[in-house]
Amino acid sequence: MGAALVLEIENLHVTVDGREILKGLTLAVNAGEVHAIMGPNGSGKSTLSYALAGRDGYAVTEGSMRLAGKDLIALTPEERATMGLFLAMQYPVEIPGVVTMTFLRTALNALKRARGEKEIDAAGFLKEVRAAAKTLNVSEEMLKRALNVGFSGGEKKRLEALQMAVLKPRLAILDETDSGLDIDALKLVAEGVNALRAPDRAFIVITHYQRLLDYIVPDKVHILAGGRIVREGGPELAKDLEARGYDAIVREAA
Amino acid sequence: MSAEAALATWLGDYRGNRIDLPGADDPRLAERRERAIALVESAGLPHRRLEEWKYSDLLHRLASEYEPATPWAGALVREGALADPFADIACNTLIFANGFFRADASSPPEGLTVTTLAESGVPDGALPALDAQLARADDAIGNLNLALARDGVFITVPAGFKAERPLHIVYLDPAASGARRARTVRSQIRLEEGAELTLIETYLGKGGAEDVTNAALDITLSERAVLSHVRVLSDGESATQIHSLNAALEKGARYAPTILNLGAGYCRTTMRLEMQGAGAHAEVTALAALGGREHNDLTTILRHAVPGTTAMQTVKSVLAGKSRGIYQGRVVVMPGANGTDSTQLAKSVLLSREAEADTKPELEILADDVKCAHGATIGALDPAALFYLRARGIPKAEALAMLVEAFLGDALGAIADEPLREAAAAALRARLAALEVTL
Repeated sequence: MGAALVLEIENLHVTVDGREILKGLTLAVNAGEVHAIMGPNGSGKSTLSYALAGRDGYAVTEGSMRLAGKDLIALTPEERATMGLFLAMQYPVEIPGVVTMTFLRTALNALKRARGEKEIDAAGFLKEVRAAAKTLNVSEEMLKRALNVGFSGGEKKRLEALQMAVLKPRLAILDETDSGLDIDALKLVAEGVNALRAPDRAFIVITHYQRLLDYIVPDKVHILAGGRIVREGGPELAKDLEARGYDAIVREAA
Repeated sequence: MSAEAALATWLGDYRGNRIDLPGADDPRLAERRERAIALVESAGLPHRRLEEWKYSDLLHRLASEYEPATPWAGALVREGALADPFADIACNTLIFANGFFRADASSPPEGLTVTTLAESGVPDGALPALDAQLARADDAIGNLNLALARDGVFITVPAGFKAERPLHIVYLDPAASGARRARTVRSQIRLEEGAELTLIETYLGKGGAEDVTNAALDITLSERAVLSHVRVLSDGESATQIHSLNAALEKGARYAPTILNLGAGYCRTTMRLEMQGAGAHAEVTALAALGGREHNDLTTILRHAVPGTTAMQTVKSVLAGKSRGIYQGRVVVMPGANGTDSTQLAKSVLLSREAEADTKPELEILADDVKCAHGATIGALDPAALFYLRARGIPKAEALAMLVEAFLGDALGAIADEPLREAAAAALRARLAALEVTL
């Protein structure tokens, strides 16, 4: 095991509402890498992301998941976030009454506090957010609005990318970030992600389609089907999948 | 104490003390008090068999011996269970202590006419609202209030006058004693044509004893008058607060009350809005943050009497412990009152399994072309929202506090004045921090 291993999942079994969705998933992600997880609907893609982030109701019944060598299973969602895990959600939640900017600052300072770092002052924070917001085309007006309330699909996803840029995770999971995005928004979000690529940061890009991977080029591609990784390869696997469809690839793997 | 004995206690207060009540030598008032007490005697005190009182047992609260509150001349501190949230806002302030006006501590605004019941009796202009009270023969609480009122303030804002500063009425409870006291206050605010005022009322009770406050406020808004009204109430867990808020809106008048109950053993607010002139608009916001065994009942009766009046009611409660939040919203659209648009929205969040919310909309629509919408939700905080915040690193307790504050704070947007809104939000935050989430 090299020091560069960020995420290590072994034989992960996850049950939701009494139904086993992940059935022995194994995955290793090194620092600096981008991994794509592709799979048909119902294959367990979102379950994997929620199980990693620690959402209630996603019960790990067997196996392990470690972030930077530390077991995640017993940790709360906020503890996982403190360790540097970030989940860009497929359906960001609308929270009326919480101003986006206030939320961002509360989150950043919560992370800093939990890590024993000094909290960021208002001026420093503003500067940092503005820079990232500009890149992602997130307007000041959006930041003053209630969190995700009345945002278009594209705005929500750009805001997820902005949160990622501000919170600077060690491992970012993008759960179907491409769903509901037009091509311009997709490019923008992809540029945001690419700008964050760094030797000490890893990404898991979960997607149904190959399209996003034209803009965020992965180091490795994993095909998830029936709750397991059934095939692995380089970026060419995604292209192959696009050309031949899930059925053919999954059947070959079986 | 039986219902009959309870009634006898209150009637006895009137009969034993009527010659000492303000205006006893003024037949205009004395005769109206006599009629009011006769109505109370025939209606009896409210009990749970009455539909309007089915959720809030008031009889128990009224059924014990008490002493009428007496004027307090001692030192005043602007805090009770809560410090005055608006102490730092530049206002003209009227102070009541133990239910009596304190001229020495008050700064009535220039340009407004302000008199008090105990000092100067009832001005002629105040009589119609008293007669409107007497016309509500079934309203025993309002009539008891009229019969027993010991003090109150009559305020007139002249036509076209736009008050620069808010008028702040503070009700203090300085005379902590073991005895159970009853305070009865009846006030009036009249805005003449085109007048504008921001009214703040702060009830700061300590409620060490099982005090009963029966307060009535009659509001008359002439054509195009605009009244913004913020009321914050905080009292002890054994206190009983009974409020009647009666407002009549003429053509184009606007009334925007925002009521915050930040804790009181028992609080019942009966709000009657009479939409009497075309274009009249009411925007009611009522928020409650309760814990322990606290009980809050907001009952509104909104009557659209003429065509083209509109109203929006937003009622939100956060209920912890064994507290209970009740909203009864009655909307009456009179025959011919076409173009009425009246909306009710009631939302409650329960922070414990033992808290309870009851919502009862009642629509009585006697016209054809009307829009009356109502919606109600009762539940726990959104688990998806909680997960979202926690997944960003915000600890659970802090995330819950954020969501609760957001739930109520969202509605504070109804307070247009920013410093006022911020002060109300701060008081709300302080109260929420004291509530426990046990889910």
